[in-house]
Amino acid sequence: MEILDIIKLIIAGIICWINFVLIDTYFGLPEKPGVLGAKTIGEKIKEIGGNLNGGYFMGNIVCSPDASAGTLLASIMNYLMGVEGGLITALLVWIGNRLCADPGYAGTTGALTITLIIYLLHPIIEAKYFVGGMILAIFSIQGFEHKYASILLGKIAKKMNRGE
Amino acid sequence: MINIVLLYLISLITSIVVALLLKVPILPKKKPIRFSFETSIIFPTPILALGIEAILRNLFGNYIYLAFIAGLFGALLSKYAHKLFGEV
Repeated sequence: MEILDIIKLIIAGIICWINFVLIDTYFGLPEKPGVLGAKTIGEKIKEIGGNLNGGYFMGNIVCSPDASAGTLLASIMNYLMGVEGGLITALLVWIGNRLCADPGYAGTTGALTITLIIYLLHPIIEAKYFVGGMILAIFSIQGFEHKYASILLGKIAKKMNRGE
Repeated sequence: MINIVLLYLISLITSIVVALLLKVPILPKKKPIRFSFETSIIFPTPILALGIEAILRNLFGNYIYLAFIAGLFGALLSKYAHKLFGEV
């Protein structure tokens, strides 16, 4: 039974990772830093040998609630109160985005898409696995190894026409 | 279940109608859209209306007039977002 739990957690983590990286890249996070803090983080990551566009992506994630925060918060709210929780998350993430000088497209889209994914998958993988999975997904980008994570994000950005 | 879907539909349609009356643009004029702070009928008006409806419904119960209020507030928040959060 425990092995099944771990498999579900890993699958949920992979889904969350794909969800937030693709949406954040599509809405232009690697293209330019939204605020000065994101620019500083991007340049620091370039100094340690990483990719500048990947660094901007990581800086923008830190400085405002983008699809990563949207995915995590929507997973938690889906766990607490179902699909309606996802709608409340989209509203609150948009307000948070606006307070952080961000237009808010990535955060709200991420919250709504993960709500749809959890709704479709909930007979197999419950919302609680998405909460844990998203923590693993964000750890793989922001916590584990900054240099290689930024290079990978830079490559994805280039493939999606959102970076150099 | 149908009742809840109906409430969400009412708030959604109200928000779009009120936004049209307030002359909110259908799409932002500034391109590229992904960097535009201008609010529009496509985004974020319906999302705000549905979120407010979800909060009101969970707090006060299933009432049709609350769905109208949610739609109205969604449209107003969308229209005056630049005044509330400041110009960027």
